Amino acid sequence: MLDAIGGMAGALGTASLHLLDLNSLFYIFLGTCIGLLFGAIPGLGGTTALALMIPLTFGMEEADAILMMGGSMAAATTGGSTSAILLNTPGTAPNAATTFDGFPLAVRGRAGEAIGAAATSSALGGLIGIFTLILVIPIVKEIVLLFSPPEFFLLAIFGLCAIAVAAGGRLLQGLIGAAIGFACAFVGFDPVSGVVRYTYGVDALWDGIKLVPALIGMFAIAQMIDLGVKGGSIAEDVTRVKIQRISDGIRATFRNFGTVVTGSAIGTFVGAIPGVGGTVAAFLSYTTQVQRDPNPDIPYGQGNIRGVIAPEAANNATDGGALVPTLAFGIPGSAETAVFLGAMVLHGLEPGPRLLFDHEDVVFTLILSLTTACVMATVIVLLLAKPMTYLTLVDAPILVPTVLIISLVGAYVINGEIVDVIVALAFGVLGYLMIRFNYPRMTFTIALVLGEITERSFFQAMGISDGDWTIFFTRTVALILVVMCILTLLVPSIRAVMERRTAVKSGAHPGGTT
Amino acid sequence: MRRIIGIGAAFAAAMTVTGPAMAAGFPDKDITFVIPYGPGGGFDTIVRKLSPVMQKYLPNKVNVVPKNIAGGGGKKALVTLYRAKPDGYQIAIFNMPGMLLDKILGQKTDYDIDKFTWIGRIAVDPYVLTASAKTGIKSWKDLKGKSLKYAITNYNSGSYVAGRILSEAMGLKVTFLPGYKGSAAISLSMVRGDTDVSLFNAASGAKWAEGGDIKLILALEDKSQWPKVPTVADAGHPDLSILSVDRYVGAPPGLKPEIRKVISEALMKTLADKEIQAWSKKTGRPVNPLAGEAAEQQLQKLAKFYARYKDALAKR
Repeated sequence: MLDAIGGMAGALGTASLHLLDLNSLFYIFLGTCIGLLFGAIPGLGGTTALALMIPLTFGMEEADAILMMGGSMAAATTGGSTSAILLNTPGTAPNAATTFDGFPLAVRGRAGEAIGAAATSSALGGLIGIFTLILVIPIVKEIVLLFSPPEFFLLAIFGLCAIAVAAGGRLLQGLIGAAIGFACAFVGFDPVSGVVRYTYGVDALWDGIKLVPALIGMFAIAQMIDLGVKGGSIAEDVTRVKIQRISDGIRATFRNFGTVVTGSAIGTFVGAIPGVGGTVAAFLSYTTQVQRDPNPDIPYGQGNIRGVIAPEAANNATDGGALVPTLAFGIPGSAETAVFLGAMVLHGLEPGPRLLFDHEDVVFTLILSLTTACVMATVIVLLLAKPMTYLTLVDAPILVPTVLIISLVGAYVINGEIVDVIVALAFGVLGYLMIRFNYPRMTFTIALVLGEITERSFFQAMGISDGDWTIFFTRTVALILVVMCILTLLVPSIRAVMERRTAVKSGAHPGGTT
Repeated sequence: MRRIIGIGAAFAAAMTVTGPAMAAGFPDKDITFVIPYGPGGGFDTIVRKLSPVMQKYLPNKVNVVPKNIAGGGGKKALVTLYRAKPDGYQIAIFNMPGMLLDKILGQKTDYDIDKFTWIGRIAVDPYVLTASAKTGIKSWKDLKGKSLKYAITNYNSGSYVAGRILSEAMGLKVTFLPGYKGSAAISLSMVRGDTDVSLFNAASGAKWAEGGDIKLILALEDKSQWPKVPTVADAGHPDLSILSVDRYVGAPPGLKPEIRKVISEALMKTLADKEIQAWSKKTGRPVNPLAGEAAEQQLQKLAKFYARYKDALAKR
């Protein structure tokens, strides 16, 4: 073990030498720029960027290819946060939770502050994720093995508890939205029996309603329809827009460092579970934040800066976490790492459980690239934040058609399929109706994102336990998750009762405050 | 007069469209090499590795462009290819015997798998039967009478088909648990001890065995590549060595023999290329070329073998 650690330190040293090399920095920079761009355009995202990069890497040195791909991986979700804030459209799926408070901030003329906070928390989240990864390298195997289908299921249930929070006082509408989200999540192949369901003869629905086109519709298109109907610009009161607030966002992030750390921890942890990923991590982080903060100065969902910091720290931290299963077993922890490992095979490297020992140079070059790109992406976004916030001042007749075209093209290019465009449009209409009739879109999104993993992991857990449901209570991690779910649902009511009692006792507010 | 010129122009246009495709002019534009899955997997990787090399062996300096058409467990790509023009500009990699299965089991598909034009075979990836180290199973003899769990992605996967046939032939008590997202999730369930046995392709099985969490039990080969691992013949089932993951290349139905020949020859030369051979050795990914006609016959042989297990495969 000591040898291994010594070897790792050596490899980290060799990898760090790349930083002194202008050529290497150029490849990281190139990857970062591509990642930011692909992240910011709804529909593209990190996996697409990496897949398109593969042919470019053929002529490259292995190390340069890794640096470039690492740059893209780290930068995509940072880029995606800007579209989430400015246009209420998650640039990549993991930015979906950022729209909840990011966009209301933009509406209030505080887009600069939101971008500043998103970019800073992205960098911090990414760095904490990678730092944690390096710390846990000796126990990566144990971490991956902590989670089995019963734990996946309970993690999903924990995420679904967020529906109660996300409904924001409109519980009935919230539950209806969530029910629609679930119904949509179950379209297509049943993950267990393989039978196709709810497709009504449409072949294109075999693989279900794809998340990204649905999100593009639900957020971007719905928002544009709303804006087009109402007129004006995204920022409601143009005179109140304060562009110079980017530094406020940076400061807010550091002031809420606890939120950053919690979000990053959740992100790293969830990233380490293969097949879960950044979208779920961001949602979990957002919910946890809302629960940790029962009396916010600004209600969540209406433009609380901590609602931007929490998911953004988490979704960037998943990059570090996603490498945990890669280092432990040579298997991908996320869609991006899957493409990355595929590209490594093309370069003649066969990743396996001994990846860390046989190819530590690859591992550390990637870690180095992710680290550098985290910071680089944030600096670029901060530099561009000011001109970008002007988007919120653009009048509807210009903004609406532009964003609609970008969104629909984005929906199309994911798979080059017109059906995805139709899905985006359909969800756009649904999303607009939800805005119009005051149904929270958040609960819908949470159910859509978590529906599949909930169902799949439930049946898997039942399979490995031969149908014995006590499997959800007899394992330590599972039991902890059960307790967390119960607390999540009960604590607000307990707190309300307690507050009422103290209020009655002191006689200050006889009617209670909640 | 104008009409005559019009007809003449149309005729000329038709000539230029069909002309080159029929003659030795093929190819005069880029060839799309379809991968029926998303980026990152084994089929994706080999197509991306072969494509740039294959360009060298095609006349007229055209490119071979990989394209992922993922969906429906590969069916979407097959439908696309089936309906494409049989002009040689669209070919695809096939996952066999997985993609033969629907027909064998009598399930309806929007294509007839037998009608595709076969360009050749790229590789035969042999299986190895593995057991989780947590089960305490050390040899195939320990499998008898035990209740075994086996994780699969779904009932259409190659791993299910091979696993079901193996368990029927050897008389094992196996419960298949579907819903695992790919081989990474399956391997992890074995490492954790959630499931007991699984078939892996030889290269990844060997990788896992190095880690010590998964034991190699039985090689589904005529001659084992590991001295200490017995073969299916040693276990009394020599015919089971036919079970494997095979990578074939096909084109739309009705591809002209002369175009098929051009692509097939380029593919065979690619597979014999020094770069590909070196890569195959280094990564442990086998290459077993078989040209057009021979590949077609081999597929018929496979179909016949799997048809024997039709009833077993329909079990759930």
